[in-house]
Amino acid sequence: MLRGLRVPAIVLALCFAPAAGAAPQVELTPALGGWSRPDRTTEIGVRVRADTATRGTLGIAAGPQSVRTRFELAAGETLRLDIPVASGATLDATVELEGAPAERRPIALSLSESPLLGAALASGQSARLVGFHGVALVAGDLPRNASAYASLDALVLDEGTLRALDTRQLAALIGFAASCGRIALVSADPGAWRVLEAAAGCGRRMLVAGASLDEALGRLQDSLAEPAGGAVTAADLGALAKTGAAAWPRVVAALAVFFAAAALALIFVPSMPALLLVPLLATAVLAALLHAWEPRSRLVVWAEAEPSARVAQYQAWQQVQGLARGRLTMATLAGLGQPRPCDRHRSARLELDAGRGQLASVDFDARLFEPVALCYSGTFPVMRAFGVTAIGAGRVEVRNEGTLASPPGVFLAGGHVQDLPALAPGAAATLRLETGRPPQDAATRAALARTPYAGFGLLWPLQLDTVADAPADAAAWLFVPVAEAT
Amino acid sequence: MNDMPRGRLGMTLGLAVAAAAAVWWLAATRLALAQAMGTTGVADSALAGLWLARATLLAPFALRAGALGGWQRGAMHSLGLVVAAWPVVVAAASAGSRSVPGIMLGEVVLLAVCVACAATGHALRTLLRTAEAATVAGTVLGGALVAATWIWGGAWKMLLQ
Repeated sequence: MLRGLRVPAIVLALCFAPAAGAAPQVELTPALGGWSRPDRTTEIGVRVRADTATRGTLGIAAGPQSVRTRFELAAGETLRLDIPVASGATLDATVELEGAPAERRPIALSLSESPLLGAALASGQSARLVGFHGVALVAGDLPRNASAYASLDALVLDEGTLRALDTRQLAALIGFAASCGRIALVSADPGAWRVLEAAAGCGRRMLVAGASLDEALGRLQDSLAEPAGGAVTAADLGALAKTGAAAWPRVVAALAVFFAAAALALIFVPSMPALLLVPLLATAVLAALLHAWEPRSRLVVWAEAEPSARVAQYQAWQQVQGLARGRLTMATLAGLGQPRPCDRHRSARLELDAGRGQLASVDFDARLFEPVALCYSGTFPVMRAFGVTAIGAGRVEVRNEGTLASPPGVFLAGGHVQDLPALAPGAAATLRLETGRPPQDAATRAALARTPYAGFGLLWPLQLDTVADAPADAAAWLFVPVAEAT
Repeated sequence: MNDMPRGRLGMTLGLAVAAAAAVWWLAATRLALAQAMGTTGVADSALAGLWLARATLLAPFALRAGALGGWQRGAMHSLGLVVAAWPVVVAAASAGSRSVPGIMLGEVVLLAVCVACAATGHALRTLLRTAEAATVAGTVLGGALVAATWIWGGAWKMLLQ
């Protein structure tokens, strides 16, 4: 009798026993279906869901650089992160959850040697372009960081995909368009076109549209005649973006003081042991100074916009010169977008703030005099519209065609620069080209180097009001190249 | 030559070598920074040059100092030649890529050479009984050590790295 009741009793006990917490679920999904190209940036989507409160650490090693983030999850909460990382054949992810052993998960990427064409077509059609490797994508494959679009050389998408994108995906796509990404839109709806057209950089030469896939691909093929407009690099700006030598005078001064003190000691100190103390003390003081000195951070922001564009694309370089051998931590600037180490081949440990989903700091292995730099990029709206008209006799008229007054700036033409006065909306200034002077500073030299041949340039210094934590030694400029007079 | 100038000579030599290395290193670093080039190679070269220059000077100097003033004074005076460069060594090591234990080992080797050469000089003086003969023998032996250091400089460098 009792034996007969045992089995139903066990079953009942199991049914009413408190359910044990299931192990947290961790999903790591590479963007763009895992497709990328060597030495490009891609994105790993991270989803962690736990039924019970937990905390943990997630790390992704990509070549010499690694990203790490610490997170805490409440019961039933899901962590969603989209982490931009350098591409590689295999990325090594490590998940450490409280009370569980560390779990290593390799993430395999498909690296294409040929240019990649991403085809995100909700219609299910397939896209082919000569010389490109086509990859079929769905809306969910598109990245949420604009920098991850570096994996693609061209993207063709249709209205259905555009509508299926979430806010962050749409912002990333707009960022891709603003950074002169090659995009073909299959849509007959002008509304869909306007979403990207307003932000597209490079004079919208990289953005094409067609009512059908064939038409869009044909226009994309034609646009390949236009060279890809790369972002401004530090090398393009010459001395402007060069790291300063702030540490050098300090070391020179410290060694000069030591040699002066040693020379005086040689003359005035009779005791040999006391004489030996001078270099020993100097060594200790110098070693302490190298670790105590605060590295000076420098920020350079360079923005460019077409004469009538509504967005400007910027690149920024935050540089620090190392003072001691060891770890140097650089906190990222909150007001600037897409922070990353400028040198992707340099060893660095990136710390991601899981709450904000943003990079918080980067640790470098630094040495004295060795510069380390973080790069930023992004777009911001501009309200300046200008027209340059040749009015004969070596004169040009620069007209403010925008709705806001413009501050004083610099006008560049023919290898010379001259002051451009502040202009009210609709106002114009007449400038004589022969009255220009040679460039006096690194900013105007950089702007002249980027001024189109036989064209003009307009340069304004910018206030970094939105970058609250910008270093004192920060400078920003907005450059508007004008290919030809109207 | 009395004790005091000899003591000053070691320190003076050390400071002169350190100053020359510092001037070359800092000037080359400034040029490298101006041209956006790396500075670690320059620092490594400065460290290697500084070590080799001191090692080259140390052998004959410490042997003679030991022969003339005994091993304790000889070693004390020779130490000035080595430690006078330490502030420059610390700064260059901060900028270079060589391993810190390797650099420290190099300095310990120099300190050991100070004591060993001074003791050898003292032994020569005891053996040969006259200061003049000991000085000549010490100079010849020091020259031989310098030649050996120069010839097997690559081996030293490898050992210290």
